[in-house]
Amino acid sequence: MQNPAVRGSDKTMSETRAATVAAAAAAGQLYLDYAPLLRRVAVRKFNVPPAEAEALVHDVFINYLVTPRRVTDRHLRAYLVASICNASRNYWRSRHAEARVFAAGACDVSSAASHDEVLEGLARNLTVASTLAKLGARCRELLNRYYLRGEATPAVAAAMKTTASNVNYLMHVCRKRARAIYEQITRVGE
Amino acid sequence: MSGDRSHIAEEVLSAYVDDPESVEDRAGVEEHLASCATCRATADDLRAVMAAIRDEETWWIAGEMINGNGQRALRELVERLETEDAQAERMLEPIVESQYLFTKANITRRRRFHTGGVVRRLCERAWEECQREPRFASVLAETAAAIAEALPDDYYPAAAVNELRGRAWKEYSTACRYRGDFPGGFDALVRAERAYRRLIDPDVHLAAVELARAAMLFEQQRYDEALRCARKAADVFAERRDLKRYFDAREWEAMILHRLGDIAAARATYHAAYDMADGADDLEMKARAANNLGLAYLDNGDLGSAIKYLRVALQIYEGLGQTTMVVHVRWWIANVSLAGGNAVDAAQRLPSIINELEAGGRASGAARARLDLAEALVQLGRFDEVHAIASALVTYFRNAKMITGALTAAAYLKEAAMNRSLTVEGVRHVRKYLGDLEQTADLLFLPPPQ
Repeated sequence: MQNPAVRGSDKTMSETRAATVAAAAAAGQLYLDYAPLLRRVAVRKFNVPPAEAEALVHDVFINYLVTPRRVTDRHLRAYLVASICNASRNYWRSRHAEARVFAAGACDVSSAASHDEVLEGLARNLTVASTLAKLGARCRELLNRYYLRGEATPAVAAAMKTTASNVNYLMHVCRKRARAIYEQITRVGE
Repeated sequence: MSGDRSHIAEEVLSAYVDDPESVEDRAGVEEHLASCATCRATADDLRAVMAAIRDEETWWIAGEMINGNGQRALRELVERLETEDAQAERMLEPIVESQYLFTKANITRRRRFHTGGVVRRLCERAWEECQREPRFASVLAETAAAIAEALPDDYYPAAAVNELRGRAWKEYSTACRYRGDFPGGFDALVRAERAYRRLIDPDVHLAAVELARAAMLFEQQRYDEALRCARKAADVFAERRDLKRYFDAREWEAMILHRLGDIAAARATYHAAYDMADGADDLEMKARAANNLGLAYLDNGDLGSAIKYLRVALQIYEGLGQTTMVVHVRWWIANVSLAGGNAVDAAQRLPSIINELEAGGRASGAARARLDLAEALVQLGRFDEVHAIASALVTYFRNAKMITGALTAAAYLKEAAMNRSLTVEGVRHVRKYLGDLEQTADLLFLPPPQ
């Protein structure tokens, strides 16, 4: 860990608290910045089941946070990718299924962390995820049922306690909202 | 078909991409798409967005953005670590500066000291103390290890308590190395490895253990084994982009190569480490690199460069308060004088260095420095003083139970000084023999050829 803020005796309690809050916020942001990439590496490169990959990613971050900081921000991505690769290998080793690991191939940090095919589409998924996160809960549920779970309109209507024609109308409205948010995000991104 | 007469409205295109059957004028849309590159590109873009919406990963990311469960857990962990560190600092401050107070406090038996913060703080203090007082460093690190082992396995999530255990044992091994307790140091490294292997991603930690092992083997002059360990560690650090530790490992590699006689390769690595430390404003690393560069130049006979880098190292070590290293660099500066034929300067510098080495409990270092002083005094024709030095060496070897070859070598020195037949080559012969004796315990001493 980095030295705690209390080291300097001239620091007030509120300054110390502020430093702690800032460090905690930075950890949260770190997770948001890198967790999707690490999860994708675990799932697509090492065939780790998604739910297990999520737990692995979480453990990788915990281990990173409890270890004294030595890696610069510039190299953080490569460090974390190497870490999830090792964690994924160990995941399969612990399940006595090494053949699957080797079938998945070795994890080349530089390629996995930059322009590897593993990264393809991740930026789009992040943008769409941001769009979904900004939608209302009802729209999100509707889109989730229809697109992710593949439920038919009557099933969606039943689950959402409405009529099939209203589902069609809602779908139209939600897609329109989503498109507007998506365009706004990508415009800012540009 | 469109607000803009030349293209299909995005709403229609979106519905078409989603389900072509749902669009009334499907044929018209398809006909337009066949001839309009812009609309085809928009359709492709929409298909990619649809694919993303159908991807479970997208929904996981969105869920994290909305609920922030993963982030919250990490934030809580960081807050906990910071709080633990702050509390440990407060609890340990009154006792950790003195070995007497620390031992008296007996914190291993007091539950309130059983925290991760205490282990981290003790490890930091042990590292700081290695240079100044290795015995106290051992006590601090051993206490850290005892507390870390006593913490429950689920003290932190993801079995991360093993990072603390590994770190404490590794610090203990470093303290052992500074004390010359190599069996204790190797045993501590095995314990560190055992703890680190329980982590989800142990590689970089195991590389650090490997580097610590290289340092220990280096001290034992087992250079080939040390070189293998240092290189293995450097490879892992390079893969993990851990530049600081990569250069640490390369520096050890260079020191080993230096001892093995490949001075050019060693010097190139020292220079790289020096430049990197300079750029990164890492004073400790810079001092070490400067010190090593100075020694490499000294061995190469470039005394001007040697003194330049040794002075840089001395200045930094003095600033850092690393008294053991200050004494060692001063000793090497005296050796530069000796190599340059300035025996007067060397003879002036060495007595205080010998005293400080002895005061710091470094008796074997003091014995070697005495030989350097003897060489300077022989050059100056002050044989009575050489005789006294040789007598002190006889006493030292006898006390150290080195009653075979070392004692014979010291006796030879004493007698040759008394006869005034001792030469610089004779002193160097004894020095070389004592160096060889560290590797081959039963080596017989033969006087130099006349």
